[in-house]
Amino acid sequence: MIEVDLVVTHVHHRQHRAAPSPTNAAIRIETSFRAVTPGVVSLFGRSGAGKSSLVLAIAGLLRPQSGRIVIDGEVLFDSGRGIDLPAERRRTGVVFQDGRLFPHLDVRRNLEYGLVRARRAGGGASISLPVVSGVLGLEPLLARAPWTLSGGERQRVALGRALLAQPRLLLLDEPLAALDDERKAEVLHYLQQVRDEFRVPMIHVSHSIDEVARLATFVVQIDGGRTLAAAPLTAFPRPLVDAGATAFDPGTIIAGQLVAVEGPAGGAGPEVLVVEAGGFGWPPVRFRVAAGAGALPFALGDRLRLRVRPEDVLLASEPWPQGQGSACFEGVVAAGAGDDASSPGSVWSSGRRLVAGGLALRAAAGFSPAALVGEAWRGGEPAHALVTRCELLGREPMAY
Amino acid sequence: MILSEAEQQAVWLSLVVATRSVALSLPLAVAVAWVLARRNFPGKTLVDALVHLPLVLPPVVIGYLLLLSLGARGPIGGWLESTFGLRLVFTSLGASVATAVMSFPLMVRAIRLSIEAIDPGLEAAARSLGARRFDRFVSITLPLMLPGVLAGMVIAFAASLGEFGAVITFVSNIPGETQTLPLAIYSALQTPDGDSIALRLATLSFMLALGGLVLSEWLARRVKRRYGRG
Repeated sequence: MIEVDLVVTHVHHRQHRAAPSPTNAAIRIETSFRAVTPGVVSLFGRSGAGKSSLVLAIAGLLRPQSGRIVIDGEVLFDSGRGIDLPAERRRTGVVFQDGRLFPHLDVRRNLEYGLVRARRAGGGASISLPVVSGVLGLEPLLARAPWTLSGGERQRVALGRALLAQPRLLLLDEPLAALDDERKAEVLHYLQQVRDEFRVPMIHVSHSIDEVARLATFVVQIDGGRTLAAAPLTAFPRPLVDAGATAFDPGTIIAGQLVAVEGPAGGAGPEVLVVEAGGFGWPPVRFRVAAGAGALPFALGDRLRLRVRPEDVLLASEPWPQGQGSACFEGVVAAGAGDDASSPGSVWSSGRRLVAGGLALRAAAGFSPAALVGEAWRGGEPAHALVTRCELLGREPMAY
Repeated sequence: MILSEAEQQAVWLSLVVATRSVALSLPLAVAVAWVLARRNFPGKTLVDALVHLPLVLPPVVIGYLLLLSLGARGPIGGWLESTFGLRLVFTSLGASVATAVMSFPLMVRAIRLSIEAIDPGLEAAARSLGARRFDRFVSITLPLMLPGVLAGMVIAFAASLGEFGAVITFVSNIPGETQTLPLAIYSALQTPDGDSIALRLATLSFMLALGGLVLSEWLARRVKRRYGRG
């Protein structure tokens, strides 16, 4: 269990003591959440919201004004009881945005920096260099100097270095922010691997919805120094439109089990995965999703994570013809925040949710299939949903 | 150029005095530079000013102050002599102390700049990886400030070779004991027909200085290549 209750005030000043500017204002940020471990907690919010200050506070590199940090029963900080474990004894591995590899050490010695000290401090080193370099593909880099690495390679080494310090908690402070899109995808893939292979609890800071959707098991949305919401990703309260541009709306995240692999229709092309999700008194829903090119990394029975975007969900009062799109199923329209059933002539406002089989799909405004125009939906009404397409996000971290 | 015995003595003595001087001031200079670069405390400005004092005071004044405090009847000098049997006045060790004091601010400045150039984030990263304070200093800060330390040593060494005023005031001008190159040149100029000797000694000084500069440049390049900067 990750338990965090913190009030952090942080006067943010630029490095190298640039001239004092009006932006040197103090940030005050409050948060409180409990998340099950292992898992990935994503602190999500716009840049400059003070998320990084929270990470520094949890790592012990910044003293919070007050609060409490407990990781799996181990108290790292408790202002009420006067506990403040120094950073070097917290065993929180941090991956910084800029990697922060030691420039005078080669990759191998960077990787070993925390490992050596963890061994010296006693306690077994269960995460070993060969395993980490295998998972992160670091073998060819071991003899290289940090300045010869690309941005993506640098972040992989930083991730490996933090892991090898045998952390009880891994802190990722916007680890992908300094990378281009291609490198982002590459490092994100490795982050998923690390999440699933090593099962170290992680707290991850990001302003990218896509990153959070792929990585998180638990989301804490932060804006204006306050915590707007904290909940498991699949149960995240939605819609959260009041935060404006930073609204956390990854679509609907669905966890399901791979039950079948179908050959492509025309013989060639990528395979189609059939993922079954649901329960909760409704018949389970089967989603069909393209596996993508290349060898299939999944086996039958694996739990996978899918995403359905609001604009890919259509509702109708009549059943949809079978075999269309990714999935069709029956459900009930749920009343949700942002609903405006009374507005005449609207298709429906954003925020309309369809609940079926324990899934809550959000249907978006902005499309108008003929059958729906002029129809107003009220909470509790039965409806038939058609999911025109859904996206495979990767493996679902184990159930929590 | 074949050196006379007296010339050899002056050159050798200068090198010994300068080497000892650097060895004396280095540990303290690293400590002071680190404190000035990384710590904030009341009276920091005063410490900073005190460190820079030898740069702005006439060297003769520094020599005189050393004589007052470290002389045989001075408070520190007397204690050193009665406790350790250590005598600084009129000895080559005293000459090293005088040059160490004079070159101290130069060394501190060079080291301080190199510490300020180190990203404190690297030390924070080392902390989160389990390195305690002294461990961090030895494994991260010290190797990264090495270029500055080397530069500071070369500058201090060169300044020590050339120091005149503080040396002659504190330890006088004794051939074979305290007569370093600049003092030897001064003495040569005081004697009739000493011009040619002075010229030879000046040439020697020039060659030593040039050698020092080339060496420091070479070292700096090696370090840069290793760290991949520049």
